Amino acid sequence: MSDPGANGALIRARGLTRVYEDRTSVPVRALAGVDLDIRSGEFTAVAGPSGSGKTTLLNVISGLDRPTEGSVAIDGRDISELSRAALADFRLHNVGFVFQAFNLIPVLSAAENAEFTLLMQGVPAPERHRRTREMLVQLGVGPEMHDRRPSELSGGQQQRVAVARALVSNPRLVLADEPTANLDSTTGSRLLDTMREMNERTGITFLFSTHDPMVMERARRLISLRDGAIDSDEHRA
Amino acid sequence: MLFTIAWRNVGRNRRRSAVLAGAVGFGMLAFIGSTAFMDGIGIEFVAGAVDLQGGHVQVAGTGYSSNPTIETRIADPDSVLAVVSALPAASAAPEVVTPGMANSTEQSGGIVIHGVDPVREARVTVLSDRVVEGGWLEGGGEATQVVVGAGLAHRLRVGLGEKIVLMASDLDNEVSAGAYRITGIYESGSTSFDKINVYILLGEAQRLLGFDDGVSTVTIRLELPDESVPVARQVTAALADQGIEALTWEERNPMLEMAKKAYDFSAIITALILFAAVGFTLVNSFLMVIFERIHELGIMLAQGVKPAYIRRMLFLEAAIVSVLGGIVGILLSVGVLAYWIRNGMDLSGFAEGLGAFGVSTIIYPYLDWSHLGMGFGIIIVMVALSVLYPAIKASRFEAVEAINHV
Repeated sequence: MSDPGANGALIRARGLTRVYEDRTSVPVRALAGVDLDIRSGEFTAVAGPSGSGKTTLLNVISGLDRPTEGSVAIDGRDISELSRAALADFRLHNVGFVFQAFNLIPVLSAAENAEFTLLMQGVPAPERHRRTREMLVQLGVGPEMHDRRPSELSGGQQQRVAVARALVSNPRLVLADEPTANLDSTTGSRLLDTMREMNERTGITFLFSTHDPMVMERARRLISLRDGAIDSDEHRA
Repeated sequence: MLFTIAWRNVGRNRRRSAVLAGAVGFGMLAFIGSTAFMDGIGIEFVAGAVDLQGGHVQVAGTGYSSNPTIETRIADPDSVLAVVSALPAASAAPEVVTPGMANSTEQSGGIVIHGVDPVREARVTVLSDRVVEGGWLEGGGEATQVVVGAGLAHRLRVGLGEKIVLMASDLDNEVSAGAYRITGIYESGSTSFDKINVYILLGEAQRLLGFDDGVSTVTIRLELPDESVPVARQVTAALADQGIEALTWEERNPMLEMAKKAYDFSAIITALILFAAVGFTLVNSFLMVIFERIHELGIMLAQGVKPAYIRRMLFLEAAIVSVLGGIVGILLSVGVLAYWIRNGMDLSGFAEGLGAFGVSTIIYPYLDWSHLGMGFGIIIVMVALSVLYPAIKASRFEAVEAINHV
């Protein structure tokens, strides 16, 4: 992933359409021809009401889902046509995920969860442990919490571990799907500040889906979706 | 980490894991128990055919095995003994055998009279060791001594020291009889054998039947039982010109061999049915495990975990459960079988059919350690097959659908 797209965009989506259909219900058009460029290092929020297509857009951009029509290129590489295994490999090395419900592996400790991506990448154990513990401490997860299971952590602590898991492998892109939805405002605010700080320090691109005003306030670019299409696209200083 | 995840996943629902391991252990117990039991029967089959009478190889006139009459006999047993004496690690005993009648003052019944050389017979059969009252035949003792089975003594209502009359047809088809004093009573382990077989001295039997020096059979016992076939062929080749043939115990007892194979086959079928039942339980349980964890598996797939990693994780979980279950099964098997291995399993109440084959109705299960390894191997294969479908299904989940699964 060294060559950026022709126009310098990290993410370049063209004509993205995603229609969900099954035999028992009316087809649903979740995305309706979205064109979108996101440059490396952006801190972008995609906002919109429920059903506007925010999560679908993130899923298609990350390769978790395939567009019905259109294409997505990351760093100039079209991922729409990649095989399932190639997509998994692409996500492993390029995308970090932060989910609304934290989604840590319940049988692993905080540190083990955070280092899971590095393990999958085949990073040697000593380096893995060092990078993981450094990242956890940077995100405010102290060493006393490293060996705790997710069930022994608060929601805010779990989400910090999830962010550490997403960032520790130094991905090109972090996709955060309503990361503050299950957090109280104070915890959510602190977590967003930390993520913004990480964005500024490391240059990792963040793309949020949200309808949380706190996220929208902190985003340097705010994209509004309505009925699967971009309603507005606001760049901030 | 893979093992750590698998191990901890096994521990997530301890009750279910314990039930699964218990099912595997039960399958193992069933396999080891049934094979040990059938091996025990097999040993008794061989013991019945080899240890009580006939030895590993029996030499007789051609056709005697299918039609054992006194007319078909070995006129010159010394020539047979000379051939056998040239064989390594072989013992031989000549014997006169004839059907007859035994009469006490109260009862009578059909029997088989065996005339034996006490010393030689003790080298080829175990009867001399199974005497429970009195003693085995003595070569220099009274000519009219007889050793009878406990079952026959009970049937004739006689005891040690009492006399019975033995009757048989001699070579001239005349009834020949003699009075004999019971000097020993044996219990062979086979109740049906004990009811019909009586032992007198070889010379007395020859006199009774008018055999001169002839005998019905020569029994050969080998230190290496696997040599039965070549020894039989060698003896037959050496004595064929005298109208004599040597047969192995399997050749003499085709029904016995068939019955043994039938027992072995039924044991395998039973074990396979049990393993299949356990296998379906495992498939069901692992499908439950997977459907409970669809969301979690989706998260792993989203992070870029390869489907093969998911499959390996589930196989490892299954392997952990199967190893735990296998250990439980072995401990259960050893615990359950230990008593019967020591004391024997008395089947006389419902397995009289065994006696028809001259097999003891007290079976000592035989724990062959290789069966433990085989059982473990079957368990591993069975568990691998059981988890195959759930694991493939899990690895084919689409990440986005799995994540949204509630």
